[in-house]
Amino acid sequence: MQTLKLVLDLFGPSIIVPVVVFVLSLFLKVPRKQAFQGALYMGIGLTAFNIILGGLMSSLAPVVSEMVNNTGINLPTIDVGWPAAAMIVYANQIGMFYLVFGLAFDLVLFLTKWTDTFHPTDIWNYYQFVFWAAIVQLSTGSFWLGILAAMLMNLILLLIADWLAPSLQEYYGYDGVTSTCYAPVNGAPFAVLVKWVLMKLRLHEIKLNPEDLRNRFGFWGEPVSMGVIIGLAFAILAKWSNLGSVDTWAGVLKTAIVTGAVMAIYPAVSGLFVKGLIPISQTLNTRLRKGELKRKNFYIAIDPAVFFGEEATLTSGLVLIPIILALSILVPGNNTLPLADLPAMPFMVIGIIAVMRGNILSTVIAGALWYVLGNWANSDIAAVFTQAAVNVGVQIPAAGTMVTSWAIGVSPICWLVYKAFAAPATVRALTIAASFAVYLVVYFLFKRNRIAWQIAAGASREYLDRVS
Amino acid sequence: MTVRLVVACGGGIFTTTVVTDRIKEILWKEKIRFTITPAKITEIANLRDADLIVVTGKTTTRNANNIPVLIGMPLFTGVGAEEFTEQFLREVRRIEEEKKNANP
Repeated sequence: MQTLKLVLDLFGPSIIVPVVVFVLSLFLKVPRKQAFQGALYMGIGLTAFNIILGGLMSSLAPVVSEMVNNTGINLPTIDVGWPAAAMIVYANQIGMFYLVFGLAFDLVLFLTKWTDTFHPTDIWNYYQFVFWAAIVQLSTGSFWLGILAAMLMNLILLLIADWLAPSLQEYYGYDGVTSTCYAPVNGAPFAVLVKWVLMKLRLHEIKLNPEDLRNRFGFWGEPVSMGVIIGLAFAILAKWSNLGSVDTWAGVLKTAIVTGAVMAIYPAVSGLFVKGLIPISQTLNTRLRKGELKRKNFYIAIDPAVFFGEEATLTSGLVLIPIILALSILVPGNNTLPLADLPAMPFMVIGIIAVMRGNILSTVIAGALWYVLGNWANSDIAAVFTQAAVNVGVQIPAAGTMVTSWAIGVSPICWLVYKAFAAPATVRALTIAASFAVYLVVYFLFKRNRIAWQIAAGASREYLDRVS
Repeated sequence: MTVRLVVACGGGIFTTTVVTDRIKEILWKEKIRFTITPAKITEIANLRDADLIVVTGKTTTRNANNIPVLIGMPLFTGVGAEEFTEQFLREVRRIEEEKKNANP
């Protein structure tokens, strides 16, 4: 054990992660060349992101801390985007371990028919909940508590995926798939409640015109210009008292370019990162489609990017971007300036839109409410997120400034699990047992009332009859 | 004649990478010269300087400069990949012809 730890520390994540991914790929019968290239890119992506994040933080952190000191806007936490959460996950042993352990756990759950969703095809998105497991480990000091938390979040995710699957399939028109990505789907159960209220209030009958809205909100779909404008606005606010000098304006404009750069660089770097796990996902997908598993009804977990472009999804996401920005400033209890994850907003409403059958107004209302809750969850863990980032080598140059990944942090469900596991040691056994008990109750209620629940989540009876 | 392609998905990342690799394989096999640029679906309405856009998921978004948009989802999932490949190659060949005729 001691030797293993020495080896892991000596080589570091940029070497160990590719090795783990390569071995895992070969084990799952990925062709050797693809497996090797993919693994290599993952190490490169990990390293590249760390370098870029360092550069961004050194220019953004001082401006944000000025903004907090000079204005009433108390948002000392910078949203550095989901790649930061992924980096933390894979730079920690828990992340590498769960890649292998979680895959095995998912296979067991699937083969014993505990769940109908085949999760490993979406292996890339494991990091979204494993991140929360990593901060459970950080808060409690226990690796195995972290793993247990990851397992519970995995179970909850698959329950949501099973529940939402027919609704996603029918609405988006793709048979046999579901989504197991926390950010897009974890708002769906909440949306079921909101939909019920909106139907009572008759607001669910109001239809907005997506084309008209898209033209009006089109700007928010251009990440680079959006980044520049947000950077400009916040830098001007930060330096409000000193706008008379040329120096100040030089600083303001430089900040705007940096925030624009965040938006331009991120997709490229995260693209490298993702490449490591694409061969695994694709190979498993092909093997499943060829019918290697003798099972009739099951759902293949698929990357949510295939849902993104649907008209109402895109439109609701774009409309929500300025609303979320405004709510982040106006609603008390939030400490995070959403930035790098804002372009992901259409992803963040996929589960909600399926429940709402494409109703834009209902989706925007449910989304806004859900992400106010999400903001509180995210703000609560900003300090421990920052600690986790510092532990893997990110430097935060301005005291009092924190970092978080908005899309990953705004998950009230993961937050509840985290709170249960990171509770004071005296009550921890109780809170953990309670969280598993709640899961089991909901799981068995779902199993008993499956059809009714899936209809409440947006599927029609006709579709359910056709596919079962 | 080089055919200029754009491959677009939600984040310009996961599905784009998969579909881009598949398209490269197809076009290399057919010995067609091409360039591929990644993009986000939100950006395709205003794209210029491209001959064909392949989107990885369903969308009703159209390009304002009349660049054709194909739904390349089959290359991601493998379902209906052969039909899509035929349709895609027809489109690419048509573009090649058009370009040849435009600047002989």
